[in-house]
Formats: sequence, structure tokens, C-alpha cells
Amino acid sequence: MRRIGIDVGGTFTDAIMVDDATGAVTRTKVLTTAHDQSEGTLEAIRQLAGEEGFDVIVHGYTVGLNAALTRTGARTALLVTGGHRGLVDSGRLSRPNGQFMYDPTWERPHDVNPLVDRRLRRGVPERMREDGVALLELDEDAVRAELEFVKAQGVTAVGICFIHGYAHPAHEDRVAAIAREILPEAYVQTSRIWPLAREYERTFVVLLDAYTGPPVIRYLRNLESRLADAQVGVRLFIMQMDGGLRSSSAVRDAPVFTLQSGPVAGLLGAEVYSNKVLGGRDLVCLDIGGTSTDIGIIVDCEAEVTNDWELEHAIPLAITTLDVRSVGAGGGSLIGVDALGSLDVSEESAGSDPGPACYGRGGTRPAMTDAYAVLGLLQPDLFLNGQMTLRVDAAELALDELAKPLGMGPHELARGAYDITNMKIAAAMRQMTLGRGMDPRTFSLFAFGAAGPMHAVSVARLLDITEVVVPYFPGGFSAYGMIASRNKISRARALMEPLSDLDADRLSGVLAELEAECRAELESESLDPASITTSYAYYGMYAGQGYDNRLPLPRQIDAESLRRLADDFHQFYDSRYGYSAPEIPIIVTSVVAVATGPQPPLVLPKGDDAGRTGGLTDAVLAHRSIFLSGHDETATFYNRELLIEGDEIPGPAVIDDKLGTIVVPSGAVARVAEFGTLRIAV
Amino acid sequence: MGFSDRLMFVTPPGDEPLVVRKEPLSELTCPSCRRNEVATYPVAAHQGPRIVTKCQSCFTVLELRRPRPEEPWPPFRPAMYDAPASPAERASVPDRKGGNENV
Amino acid sequence: MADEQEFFLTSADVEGQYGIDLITAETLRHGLIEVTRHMHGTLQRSAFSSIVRDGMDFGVCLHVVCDDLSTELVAATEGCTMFAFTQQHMTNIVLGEYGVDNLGPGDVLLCNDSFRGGIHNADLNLFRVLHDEDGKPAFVITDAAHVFDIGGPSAGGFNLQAESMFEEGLRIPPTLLTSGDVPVRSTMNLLLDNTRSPWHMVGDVRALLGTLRAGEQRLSALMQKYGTETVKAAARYALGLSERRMRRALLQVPDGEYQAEQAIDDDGVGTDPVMLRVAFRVKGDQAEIDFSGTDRQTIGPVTTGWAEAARSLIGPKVLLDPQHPMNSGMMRPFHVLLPPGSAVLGLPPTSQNNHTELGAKIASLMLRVVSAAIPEHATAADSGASGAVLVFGIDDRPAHEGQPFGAVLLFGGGWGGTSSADGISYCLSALYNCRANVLEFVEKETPLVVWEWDTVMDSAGAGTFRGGFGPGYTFEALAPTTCVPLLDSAKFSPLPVAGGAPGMTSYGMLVKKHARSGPVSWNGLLPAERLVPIFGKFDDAGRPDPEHGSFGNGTRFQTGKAQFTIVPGEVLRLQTASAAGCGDPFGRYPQAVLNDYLQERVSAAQARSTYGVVIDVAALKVDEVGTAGLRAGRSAADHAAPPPPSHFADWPVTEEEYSDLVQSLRPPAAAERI
Repeated sequence: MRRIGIDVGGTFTDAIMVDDATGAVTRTKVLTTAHDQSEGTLEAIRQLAGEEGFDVIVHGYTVGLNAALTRTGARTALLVTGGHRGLVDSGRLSRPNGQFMYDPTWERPHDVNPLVDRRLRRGVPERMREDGVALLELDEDAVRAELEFVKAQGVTAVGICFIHGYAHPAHEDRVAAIAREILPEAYVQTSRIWPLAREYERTFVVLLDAYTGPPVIRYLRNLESRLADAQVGVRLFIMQMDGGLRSSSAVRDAPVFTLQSGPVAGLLGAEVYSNKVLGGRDLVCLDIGGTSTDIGIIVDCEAEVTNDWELEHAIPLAITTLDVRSVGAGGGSLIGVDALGSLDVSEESAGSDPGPACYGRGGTRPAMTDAYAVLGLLQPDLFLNGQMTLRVDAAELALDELAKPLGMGPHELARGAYDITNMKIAAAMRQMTLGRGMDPRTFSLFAFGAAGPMHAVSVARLLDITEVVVPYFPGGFSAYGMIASRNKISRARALMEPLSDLDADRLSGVLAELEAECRAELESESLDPASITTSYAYYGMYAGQGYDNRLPLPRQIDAESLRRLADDFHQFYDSRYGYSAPEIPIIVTSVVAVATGPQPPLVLPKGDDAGRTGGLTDAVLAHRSIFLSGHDETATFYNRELLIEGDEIPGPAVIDDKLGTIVVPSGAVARVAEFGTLRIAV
Repeated sequence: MGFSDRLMFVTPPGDEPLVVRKEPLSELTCPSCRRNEVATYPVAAHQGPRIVTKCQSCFTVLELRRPRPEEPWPPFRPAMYDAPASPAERASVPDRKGGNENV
Repeated sequence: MADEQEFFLTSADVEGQYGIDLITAETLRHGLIEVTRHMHGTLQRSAFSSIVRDGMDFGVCLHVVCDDLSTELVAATEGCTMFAFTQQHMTNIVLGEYGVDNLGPGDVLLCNDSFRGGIHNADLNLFRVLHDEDGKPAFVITDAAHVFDIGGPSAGGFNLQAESMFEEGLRIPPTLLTSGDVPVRSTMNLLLDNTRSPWHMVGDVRALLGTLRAGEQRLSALMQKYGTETVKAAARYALGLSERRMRRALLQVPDGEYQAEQAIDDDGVGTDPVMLRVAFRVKGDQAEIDFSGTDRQTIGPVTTGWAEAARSLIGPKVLLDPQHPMNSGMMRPFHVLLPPGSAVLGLPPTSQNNHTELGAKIASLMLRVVSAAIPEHATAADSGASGAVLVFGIDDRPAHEGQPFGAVLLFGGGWGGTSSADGISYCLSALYNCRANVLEFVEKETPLVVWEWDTVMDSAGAGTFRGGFGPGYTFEALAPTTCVPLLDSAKFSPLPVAGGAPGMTSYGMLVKKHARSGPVSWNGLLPAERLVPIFGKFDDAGRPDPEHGSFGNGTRFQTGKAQFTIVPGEVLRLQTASAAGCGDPFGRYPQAVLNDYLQERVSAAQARSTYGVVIDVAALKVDEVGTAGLRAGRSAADHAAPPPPSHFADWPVTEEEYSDLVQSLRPPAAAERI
């Protein structure tokens, strides 16, 4: 089979094609076409496949995300329990940590720019008690009146989310039915999309799905028809935020699950490397592109998940996603010095127009890219194979303007910005590992993105991590992750009961039902039932707490395994939080069944296709001065494509890849391992 | 062992406003602005209760010191403030000694 | 007198003053904040009481030990913001009393005493000293959290009628909680024997202790990597940076004395208001905050023992340097003057059980007095109230019979309008920053039904930029439930600036249910005949009216600080006062008024009479001509008259009037995108 993976990012669309039969891996990169992402997508396909056929496309896009961020999604109405129209405005009362905590001019993102303003949020007379007793019966006349109102307002999507609707959906279902009567063309969504407790989070899942669903569905329809024009019989799979694939037709049920899948794709590729190349080593992943720095972790060959994703402050999407955290530093981040002489690397990015000073497009504010240039890590004639202008003089000038008043030179300032960036990245990595009770020292640091491998070794040293791993094609790696991924679907059910009250039979029954739903879903996508694997998990917390934790459930549920579950739970608390409370009941808030399809054949690039006849010196491009350790030193620059397995490169060295740069500081040694993977001893 | 009688108080009687009294020190001159408007009074500085001597014209601080034990600032003074720590209270200190370690 | 240039430190300056290079100083400054961020995550996820985990009523801080053994708060990651202020003083006071040299590795001190820099007894503050390689105290790690119950007459620790500290919960002087990392049994027993919720207490204490250890581990790693002296130097740099920023900001405030006063409704025992007065004196880059003239400490518990020495700094923080990470460096240019025996420096045995309403008023007052100094950046008063209610009782639902329940329900208030934006709604005081409950969890754990949490039409203090709304919060008890509201500003409206309008005052009322809608209101409006006034300013017809009503008119209580029990079927509605507005309401951008109308926040009538904007209701547009006419035609007298407190002007009495009113008030549909 020939499979194509396409990841649409903010600026670029990365694409990769693998041929299972020949093992050939080809890649390309085109500019993202913001007005209609399918154009760029198809162009990338054309470039890769040309006239030849291909069988499968795995695709991640940002259609939904962009619609949400730019507030250009469907005109949506939200029907809520009467009395709770203000819920989405409330932001749960909290202010964000950081610079706006005390700022009296700060406004909540949803206040300033609502996804759905109050006018289209309609309170419906209805009320369930937590045990399913209706305290107020559904007032269908009132419902009709509200739906007529929103219809007159031209809404094209309706979200319905009631208090306790996750457990008692009767009222929501009835309202959905009436909505379909009155607005037959509208997209309608209820709590069934995420039937779990937490009214604030669930309302936003419903809202974001209603809001972004229509544009995503339009996009898919458009893409499918263009593909049909171009090629018959191609199967199109879409990447979910939990790293699983669903067919493009199935995605239509819950488009919000595909809201932002790009960053997760890189983690999927890292899973493959952990499993197939690195002997199951746990990984902290560092992806630095032009505009963002994303961090994730792989434990036991699987990316860690979270339910804490936020579109913006207090606009959560609480579905299970691979845990990817953004750090506002690296790549195009701007360097600044304030009126007190305090130096910082900000979250603000230089963008690409005019971009960093060294792009020579007239930019004067120095960005991290300028720092890289001044440090000598990017060399004009070697940068991206000499294909792109690099004005080191402009970078130096821009940095000097900041450095001079401080009484520093531009190189020192560049180095300082580099160090601060590394500190921020290391801090985020610590949060993700130590915050889970894990020791970062037991991980290797897996770096990709154009600039990830520029910071990787320095960051690793801050964390006492001893190895950095760079895959063969760090730039555009996320597209590789796409084609390494597999079908996945999960189904959850809220329980909200003490573990001690759970009956093994009943629990097994619930899980079996959930599993059956998952299997049915995957089989409808033509997966061979025998190839499907399933696992169970639950969310639990001590009674009286408000934050539940995801923990595995065994396949066999009996009284004995339930008892062991309690022990494991206490143990988990001990290692993650530093204590356990065996005398307090454990509440199981929900249970989850996850079904995954088979791993596609993995194709890893051989990594030595350039055919080198001589020794390592053949791969040397130049010897240049760099300023990484606080003083001038001479680094050897290598051409990545001319490296072969077994090469050992001691620092200081810089390895130039077509789509990225790998820095090996003094004291580190890089070794080329199988599949062209660089393993750097820090 | 000392015992403090600054444990309980009555509400200041009467109706006249409660003010922090600034005691003028007319003999002092401000080293900054050279005026004779220096006063001393109890404040909460960022480190806690302090007695400040400062110029009222330009706020230049001539002295900022901890209150002496007999100065009623802050009003409340724990009964055992001047007492030495018992061995149990100092058990984790590597070289245990008796005596008053309070600053 | 300092000047601008002094505030800019070159790389050589930093080296000279702190002995480390600028880059190391900056990276470690971030590193120290990161230690507290790690502590924040640990505590938030591991604590027990919902008020800590969901409410975020906790603080985590890191302090450096100075040469004279005083301490300075170097970094914090805020839960409840007041701790980032109070822990600076409390650490000094507590360690000064206990003797920092009496503490060894693994020792943790516990203290909750308001007279030693704490806030109220329900907040446990923990202190742990970190020693360097030579055994000298180098840093202090602290955390604090509100535990649900610490004994005393009122579950939850808010005895609003306490007349002395003996009617509160346990008062704990600096006491060893762990010795060499082993819990001190007598201290633990003291806590657990005296609380109504020992399991929560144990869980919270474990979480607090675990958090300190987590912070110590991170900080030790930094000390090992960089050397203790370098990390201490970076801490001093971080403090100096905040100080420089604040001094620079103070230089831009014109020298002078600025005054403000604000009244707390009453002390919960008597009916007299409690007047808070403050003078803000600025000279150059220094300032005094002088509370002379403040009323005497109260009989009821609206007084604190030292907390306002720290909490008063919220005014300069918010208005002069809000964006920089908080540390005690910003406190260095200030001296706070507190008259002993006043409400801001209560003398034992006065009680601090209701510190929340005092604190909310202090924040409000400080924002107003600093605003007086910088009028172009002024902010109107916020709600000046917490916007919360404690509830407790015994459950009687099947499978929960006999189980005690308790919760702190948070609903918040609004911040004042500023010269550039409307005030935020759904927010607690700048001193608090707590997070709302998960209602679906609350309703599982307690026999309550939260029927409503939403804004009240026309209640936001009008202005060119209006204040944030104080919400209405309606809940029903399915079992007898004792309610302890934390809700001041029922007597006196939050005050405006620059010609804005005061906000609506706070209210408590019972609501009778309607067959179809239960007790749920229409945008905060309900017919008076369905209301039973509990506290607030009502008129003779029982309508909430902050302008023409009088406080206590026909109400069950003559104070908003009453603790009372509601029986099954009764529904209590609490409304937080709205924040005040900034600037003349007749100057508000008409499109903004139209938008408020469309969002059902402002009625067409208020648009007209308060804002001078005529809305063409049929077309859903601003009637430009009508508006211009109204605004131009305003008499000089009207122009000069201060606007009355914003409120819905024609509250209905009967059910029939109500349903007619709602019909007439509903903005109609329109197909165009608005």
C-alpha cells in the first residue's frame, strides 16, 4: 500500500508518502492555504503521488481550530437549563496565572469574543435532579418558542446541554428531536457527545462541536469530492486529538474530536521510535517549529493523555487528548529588554512577515532565529542548503540594539536568550514529568521540528537527561506520525459511585457494552474484528475531591481485581501526590473502553540513501566559529544526508538537515544509529 | 522565662478617631532635604512590624528598626516570646543546645 | 529623589549589585517561580477540601532568608491571591517568634493566628526552612490552605456573630507539625480532635506537607546545580527587580496625599456601619498607606489582627504594576500605618471570622484611593463583597442518611469599570481569585439544587464603561441547611469614579417556586410577591430597590451577615452587589448599549434613562436621532447630578405583572447578524 500522511499547520502543510512494498519514503512541504485548506492538501498530494496511485490518506487539519480561534464557526445557539445561561461567561470565576492575574483591564476571552453570545444562549424550563428525578418537567412550548427565536436569528447549529444531562438525557433528547423538526438543516449536538459530569467542561464540548462541526464537515465534503475527482477508491482517515484515526465519514458524528490534531501527530511518531528503535525508552518530546514549541511525553511507548486542553483561557475542551503543552519560546519568539534591564523571550512571535531580522525582509525586532544566527548555529551559505537568505549582519544589529544599553555584546545577549528559552522549556518538561510523579532523568529527550534539535542537548542538561534522540527527518516529523497512527475509538460512561459499591458483574457489563460500541464502530470502518485490541480505563478520585485521575482497568473484572484496584489506586496517589488515604472511599467518576485497530506496517527510512564512499570527513561542510558555550569555539558543520550508520560526531558540531538544524555542543557526542537516527550522549 | 501581659485588650474607649501617632523629633534634620520634619512612629514595613524614623517632608528614612520588647508594637505579644525553645522544639537542629535562640 | 535611569541595570550593574551575571539572574528568577508552580500543581491536585481543589483557596510561596534572619517572599504561584501578600509578613512574624535557628531539616511549623499575620483560623499556614550545605537557613518554603472546618460554633469556620476569638475555631500559635519529617502526634491530634471533618483535615494536611516537600526537592536541585549563594543572589535580584518597577511606577504618581473611605454594612452583631478610612501619601518613589481614622474594632467579627498590613498592598499592585510576577520586592517602598484597636488592627480577643468581607472592602477601598492618585487609570469600586455562602447540615437522602455535609458555594461579583473597559463579571475580589464549584459534583455530595447562577438585568453600575455584574445565585435545600452568607455591600453601593453610577446592592431573599419555571428568574427579575426578603434594601412593596428602598425594610434580618437555616423546599437567592461604573453613562458608546440590550443585560428603559440611548426595538438598532436628542437635551442639573445606583427600575409585584413585563422586555428576533 502507498500511504500519505498530511499535516496542515499554521504556516506550512507537511506531507509524507510511504510505500509499504518498496520502503520508499518521500516528503514535501507546501504553504498552507488558509482560505481553503484542501487546496494546499491536494497540492501536497500531487507533489508526492503525481500520476501514480495511492491507497490511504491520513490527514490532520486545523479547520475547526481556526474557526474557533477566529470566531468564524457556525452561527450557533446553545440551549441550556433555565437559570444557567451565564455558565459559559463565568470562566468558573478564575483568573489566569501569569501576567493578567492582577490586571484590571483583563477580560475573559469568551467575554471579549464569545463563541455564542448571550442572546443566542436560551434557558429552557427543565431541571433534573442528580438521581434522574425531574424537578421541572420539560416545557416543550417554551422549547419551541426558543427554537423559533434562534431560527429567526439564522442559526445553523444548535448545542443542547442540561445540568445532569450526561446521566439523564431524556430532556436533551427530546429537545434535540424538536430542534430537528424546527431546524431540519441545522447541526444538532447534545451531551451524548461527551456524557460525563462537569457541567462547565461538558457545555464547552457541546458548544465547540456545534460551532466547529459545520465548517469541518463542509471541508471534508469538499476534500472528499476533490479526491474523488482526482482518484478513485482512496480511503481518507482523520487524526483525532487522542492520536487515533477515524474515517472521514465517521468523524462527522463528533468533529470536535479532530479540532487540533497536528501537535499530537509528532507524538505518535515518537511512540513508534520508542517502540521500534529505542527499546521502549520513555521519551520527553520537544517540537520547536517556526511559531510554537510543543512538549509531550511518551511512557511505556504511549503518549500521555490529558483532559485539560484549552482553546484559550477558560475555554476548555475536556475530551481526552494526547497531552501536548505549548511553551511560548523558541523559533520565532521575540527577544526583549524592558525599561528596567530585564531580559525575556516572549510568547510573541516574529511571524514570517517581515519576520526575524535575519530574514532580510526589514524586520528589526530580534527573534530567537536571529540569536541562532548570531551564535553561528545558522550559517548563511549552509542554512537550508543555502536556499534561504540569512542576513547575520541584520541579526547582529537587531540584537546589538538591545544589548548595548545593557553593556553586553550581541553574542552574549543571544546566548542569554538561548539560555532563558532552554530554562522555560525545561520548566515545562518538569511540569509534565514531575507533575505526574515521574523522574525526567529516566527519559530520553526526543527532538524534532526545525529548531527542536537546536535546543535539545542544552535542555537535556538542565534536566539531567543523558540522551537526546533526533529522528532522520526532524523537520516535518509530524506528518510521519500521521502514517504511523491507527484507528482508535473510545466510549465512556459516567458512574459517580464509590468503588466499594461497584459490583464486578455490573461493571463488567458496562465495560462490555462500551467495548461492543467501540468494536461496532471500528468494524463499520471495515476493520477486521480479529485485528482490534481493546483496553479499559477509569477515572477516580477520593470522595470529596474534585479532580479525577485516569487509571487502567484490567480486562478481567472480579472481586479480587477490584480489591487490587483499590491498592493500586492508593499506590498511585502515593507516588504522584506524596500520600494516600486508604480510609477514604474512592469514587469512580467514569469508565472508558478504548478500541484500537492494527498498527500499520511501519516504514522507517533507511537513512543512508545518499551513498557515501569515503569516511566521515566526506560529510563535513565547513568549520565555523560558534558562540554557544560563552566563548568562541570552532564547530564542524556536517551534511546530514551524507551521514551513515556508525558515524560518531563529537561536539562542538552542527548537523545541517534540509529541513532543520541539529546542534551538538561541546562535550556531547552524536552517534548515527539505525534508520538514520541520531543518538546524542549529552 | 518571661510572661507577657500583651495577650488581651479592651477596645479603645471613647469616640475620638484612632490614629497612628507620629512623634516629632525636632532635634533631627533630614539628611536629604535638610528640613526639621522628622518623626518616629510604628509601621508595618515589608518585613513586618518596625519603628521608623523618617522625614515627613520627603520620606527619607533615617532609621528603620525592630521594636524593642517594651515597645507595644505590635500590640499583641505572645506570652512565651522571650522563653527559650525546649529540646523537643529544637530536636531536628543538628547541634542541639539550650538557651534563647530568638532574634 | 530617584530618577528614571537608576531603574535600568546594565549587565555590569547586576554583577556589581548581586554578584552574578544578568543571564543567570534571569534564568534563576524564572526557575524560582517554577518551583512555586510545581507546588501549585501538587497542592491543587492532591488536596481534599473542595474549597482548596476546586475553589483554589490556597497559596504556595518561596522565601529567601536575609542576613538579619528576616525573610522575603521571592516567588509565588497564586491560588488565592491574598496569600502572596500575607505570607510575607506571617513568615517573618512566625519565624521571628519561634526562632529560625530552632528549626532543622524536616521541621514544619503550623500557625493560623490572625494576630501573627494570618488571616482567619480556617487558613492553615505551614512553614519549612531549607538549609544550605553548612546547615544555615537559606530559604523558606511555605504554603497555606483554607481547611473546611477547624472547630468552633459554626461548621466551616465562619461564625458571623462571633464576638470574640473564643467563639471561633481553634487558634494555633507557631507549633511544630512535623519534626524531622515525622508528624508530631500531639499537633495532629489537636487538629483532628477539634474538627468536624477529620478525614478532610488529614487529607489536606498531607497535601500541604507533600507540597512543601515537593517544593524543597525542586529548590534543592537548583541549589545543587547552581550553588546556594548563586540562587540566593538571584532571589535578591528578583526582589530588586520588583522593587525597581514599583518605585518607577510611584515616581509617576504625583506627590501628595489622597484619601478615601468606605463602609462595611455592619459587623454582623450590631447595625452600625464600620467605616474604613485610608490616606495614601506619595513622596517620590515611596508611599505610606495610613488607616488612621478607621472605626474601632467591631464587636462582631469584621476585623483582622495584622492581615491588612499586607492585603492593603493589593491597591498598588493592581493599579501600579499588575503584570509583573508578585513578590515582596513590590512591598518595599511602602509603610503601612494601622491604628491598634481599629478594624484593620484588631486586638485580641476580637474575632476575625468574617475577614472575607473586610478584605473585600479593603481591596475595594485601596483600589479607590490609588485611583484617586492616578485618575486617568482609575477604576471604579468592585462589588466589595466575597460573593459566597457556606452551607452545612445533615443529609437525609437515600444512601446518605445521617451524613454531615458542607460546602462553600462561590458565585463571585464584578470588578469596577475602568477608563478603557467594562469591569469583568463573575470574578472574586482581586485579593481572592477562587474558582467556582462543579455544580454536578455539589449536587451529588450535598442535598442541594443550584437552580440559578446568572446576572441581573440593569444591575451593573452604569458608566461610559460599566462595572461588572454581581450575579444572582439561587439554591434549594432538600434537607435542613444552615447558610452563612459572605456578602457585604447590602447597605452601601459600590462607589463609582468620574461620574459613573454606583452598583446595585447585595440581597438575600427566599424565592417561591412557579409551577413551570421553578424559582428560576428571567434575567434576575422575579415578581415581588414570590419573594420573602431576608436582607437588603427593599421598598414597601417588597421589591429590591437600592435607590428608593431602605435597608432592613420588611426583611427577616437587619444584617446581611446572618446565619440561618433553610428547611426542605425553601429556596434561597443571594445577589452580589454589582461593581460601579467609570465615567458618565451618557458618554457610553451607543453600540455598546445596544449590545447590552441585545444580550438582555440592560433594558431599553435603562438604555434610555441611564445611558441616554434610544433603541429602536423593532429594528434592533440605535435610534441615532433620538439618542442625539436625548444626550444633547440633558439639563445641566441632570448632567451634574450623580447617577443613582443602577437597578431595574420597575420591579413587578404580581405574577401577572411579571409575565407581562417579561413579554415586553424580551428583545425580539431579527434575522440579520448583529
